[in-house]
Amino acid sequence: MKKPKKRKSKNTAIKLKKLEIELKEAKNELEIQTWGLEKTNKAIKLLYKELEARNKRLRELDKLKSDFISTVSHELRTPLSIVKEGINLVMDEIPGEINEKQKKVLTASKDNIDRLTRIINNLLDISKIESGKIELNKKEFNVAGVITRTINLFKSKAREKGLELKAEYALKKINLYADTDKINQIFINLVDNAIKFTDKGVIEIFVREKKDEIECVVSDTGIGISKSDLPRVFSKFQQFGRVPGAGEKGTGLGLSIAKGLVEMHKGEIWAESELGKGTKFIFTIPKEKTRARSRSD
Amino acid sequence: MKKRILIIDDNEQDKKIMKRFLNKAGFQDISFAVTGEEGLDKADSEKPALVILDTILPGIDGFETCRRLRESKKLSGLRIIIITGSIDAVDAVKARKVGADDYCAKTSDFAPLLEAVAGLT
Repeated sequence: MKKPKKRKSKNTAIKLKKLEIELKEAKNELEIQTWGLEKTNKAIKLLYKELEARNKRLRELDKLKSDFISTVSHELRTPLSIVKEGINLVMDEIPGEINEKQKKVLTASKDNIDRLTRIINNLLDISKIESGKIELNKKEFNVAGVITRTINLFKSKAREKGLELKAEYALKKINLYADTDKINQIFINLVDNAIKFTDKGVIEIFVREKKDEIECVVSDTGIGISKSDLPRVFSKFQQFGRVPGAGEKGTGLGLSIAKGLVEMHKGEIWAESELGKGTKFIFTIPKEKTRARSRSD
Repeated sequence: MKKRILIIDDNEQDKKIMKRFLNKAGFQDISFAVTGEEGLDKADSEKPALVILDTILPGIDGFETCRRLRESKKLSGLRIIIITGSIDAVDAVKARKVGADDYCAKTSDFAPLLEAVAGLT
């Protein structure tokens, strides 16, 4: 009777030994896994810190660039306006009479000075937007008024190219709480762009009031933008599909500025287009403030 | 005198930077290998105190190189640091299992590496 009991206890001892070995192995494995996780964690923390430092450096460089542009632009504006004044003076024949040929040469010079001035002004605008130096002067206003102003501004330019320029809004009065001048600038840049790239047809402005935002559309029947170019349409100095010598040269900054101004209002801007058929630029401006105000009224 | 270090890495840029940092930390005796196989030969003949190993190498990878370094009876007491540009927890465990003493990230200042070699004199 004793023997089997002994064997039994021997079996138990072996089993225990086995378990002990297994446990040791598991503990070992756990230690290795812990070691691995600790090392990984340490490395990720370090890499994250490094990424943050690089990010900070990039932001500093970006600001430096913006400051540089704005300083240079200011410095350029003064001599440029003096040159322009000189040309105007000669063209008005104040220092003496000039002939038609001379006038033609001076007109070309003056056109290019105007273009240079536009580029500098745009550069200044974009550097201000990028460095966050522009402050929004928000108040409540009627978007319809801004659109009418934009249309009046471009009426003659559209007529010169034989284009129809019109606006359509569901409501006569669409109130928005935003910076009037900036919203006006967005419309101006979009309409200017539309006229530039449209040779025949219609340029139309739509405004729709939605639940939380106001959606504005500037559509044209122009040359359109190819699918591959569409993602870069708001990038600085991008100009697509331009026929050499066709129309007035742009600065390549109008749409970047429009995007910057829309985003300052926490809105969104995008383009939809089909080559040869036309382009739609759509932007939204949230109207939270207006709603909050009317609620408290 | 500080001990000999062998760096096994195929990235020229990384090798140059590591050498500069290690020189600054007082290690002048540094040799290089581009592949794991070359590294194994050099380790055998030069008997370094420390091997710095990249994970991704042409031919056998860093982990396999590490395992073979550990197998070599001639290299007892050798320290091995596996260093990588792509941190991965599975790789870290693998590094430990093939016998690495440390597993660290390649940062631009190679601070983790310097920390790992600090005790080596």
